[in-house]
Amino acid sequence: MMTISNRIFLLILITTSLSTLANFILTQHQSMSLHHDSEKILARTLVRSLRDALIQDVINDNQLRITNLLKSLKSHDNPIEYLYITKGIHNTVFAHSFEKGIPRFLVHSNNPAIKQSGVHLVHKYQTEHGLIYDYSETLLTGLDASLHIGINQTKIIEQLKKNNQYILTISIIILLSALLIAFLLGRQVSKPLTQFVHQIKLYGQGNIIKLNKLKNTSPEIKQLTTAFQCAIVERQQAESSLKSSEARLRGLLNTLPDLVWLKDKNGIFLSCNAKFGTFYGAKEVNIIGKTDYDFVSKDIADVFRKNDKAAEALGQPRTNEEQLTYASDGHKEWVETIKAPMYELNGDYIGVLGI
Amino acid sequence: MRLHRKPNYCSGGKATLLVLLILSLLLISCDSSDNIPIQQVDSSDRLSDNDLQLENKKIQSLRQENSKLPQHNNFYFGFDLRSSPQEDAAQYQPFLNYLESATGYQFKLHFTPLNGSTVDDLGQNKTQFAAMGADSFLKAQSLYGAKSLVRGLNLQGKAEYRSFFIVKPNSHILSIKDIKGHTLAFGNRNSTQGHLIPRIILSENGISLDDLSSYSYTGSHQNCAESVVSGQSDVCGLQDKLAKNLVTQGIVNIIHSSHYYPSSGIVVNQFVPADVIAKVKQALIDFKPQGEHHTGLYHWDKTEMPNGFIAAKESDYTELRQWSIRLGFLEKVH
Repeated sequence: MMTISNRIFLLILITTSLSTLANFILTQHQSMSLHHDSEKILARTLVRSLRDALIQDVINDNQLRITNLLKSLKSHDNPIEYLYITKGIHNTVFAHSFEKGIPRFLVHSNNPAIKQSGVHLVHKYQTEHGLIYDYSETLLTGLDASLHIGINQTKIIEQLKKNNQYILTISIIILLSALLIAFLLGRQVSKPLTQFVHQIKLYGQGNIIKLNKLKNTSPEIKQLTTAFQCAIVERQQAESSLKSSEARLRGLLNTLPDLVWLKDKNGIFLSCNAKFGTFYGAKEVNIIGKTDYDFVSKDIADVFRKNDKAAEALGQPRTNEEQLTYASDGHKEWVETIKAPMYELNGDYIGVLGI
Repeated sequence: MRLHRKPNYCSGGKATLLVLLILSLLLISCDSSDNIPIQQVDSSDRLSDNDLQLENKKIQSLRQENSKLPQHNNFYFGFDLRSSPQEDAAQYQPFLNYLESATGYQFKLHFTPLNGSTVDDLGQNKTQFAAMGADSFLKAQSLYGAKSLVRGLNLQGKAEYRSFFIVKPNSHILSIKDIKGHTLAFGNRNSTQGHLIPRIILSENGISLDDLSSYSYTGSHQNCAESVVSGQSDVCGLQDKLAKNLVTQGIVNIIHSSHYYPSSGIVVNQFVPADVIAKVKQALIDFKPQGEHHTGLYHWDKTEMPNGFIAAKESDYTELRQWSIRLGFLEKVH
């Protein structure tokens, strides 16, 4: 199962990657939109700024002045590939910005009649200089003259590519930085929890643990630590109480002048008091886990075992009279023994309690 | 009830796919591509300027043949430049649209170069119809046999106008008699109100150009007024409408006004068939710029025909023609 730090890391990895990807795609898309808008704005601005200067010269057939003006606007520094003016009802080329003659395809291009005012993209030409978008706008309604502006898309796109590469590089740097931060942050965030889990493992192995250091890390960990410490204290108190109770019970049993013992259903001693120890001449710890056959002759042990089974079969206390010989000093006593079957709280049979 | 649930690791992947899908849809929906095909062209095949002219002629003849428009229904409309080509075109284009709808003929604006002449364009059949002042019409009639179809009605509903002489408000020139020895500005040399009528005023008052210290042609009524306001000229002879506007603003004073003369109108050349002339003339008379045809017109009230037209008669121009001949503006009389 994935650790919390790894989950945090994965979460940040996914969200950061997605947002970076989305940002990159949207930036690219936006730059392309802006590119289309900007070139149209460029064409429109050119037409608007040139219109007044051109109209009277077009009317006056002042071809030389217009040609000089168009040539002055074409430059290698900008994406304007060419400018030319068509005139008359047949849309023939009147003036242009080309130094070495106008390309034949422009002379023969069929420019559609544009009724609406404004700049319109009318042609796309793939030339050896790149992809040219030909924008056109009528100079003046009724004049039959249009200004055409060729804008080199390839130049613009090359510039855009450079920009996009820059954006991509920055995006990758941001992504990697975000991932590094996510990794460190994930570790930092999950560190107290990891330490807490480690302390619990140590506690489970019986070691002494130090939880107070973790209390200053975060409110959640502080709550967990406090709760766990409370649980430890309660458990220690319960253990102590149990030990006291056992000690009192053990004292009671050992104070009794009678023999007291407990055997399981197989006749193995589970417990006994000090008096019983004198009967078998052994300490309690040496009796527990053994049977009557380890201490007396088989005949006597068989009798004891037979009486145990009889009490078990009867399901209630059963009294016998037996002469016992104490191994501690060899004296004999006639004793009345009560053997009672003993059950767990849930009803499971434990064995036979003898007094 | 089971408290433990298997972690759903697939939900993250689905969310990622969903985000990518939305992004894709957004990008598709924002696609602004057009349907213009890319043409593969050879830009190395160039035409020199001489070759271009030859090629243009070929294209013109080819496209002329391919043109399906009946040429006999296409007419060019010339005009005396009043403001700027842009402003004048904005005024005349809706008017031509009206003529097209009223007659069924096609009308296109013709822009006369500054070194050209509206009169010559009409006479040489570059234009078939033209809006021009009385002076230009008399020349067109004299030189090329043009006919005046209609005269423009002013805001008072009269087909006439006059000229004023204006001075600066603080000028010591108080009447026409005082202008001797001063500088006088005219508008355009071919303008009726800006030149012909002021010259008539001078002549009527026994003042010749030699009596002035100097005179100049400023090119337009506006320039003429500005020359007085700026102090370049002492007096300006110009159209009544602009002069009244300037007086209202307190910029100038009027020292003399002319008689009324026939206003600007629409003129036709001798090559247009009679049935076309009749149809166009009727459409012009029916033109109601202040009424049903007002929609779409651009500042028509600032033209010399704000209230439409009235049919022109030959006799309307008799007096003006005599003055033009007397002043030497007409070279030939038909």
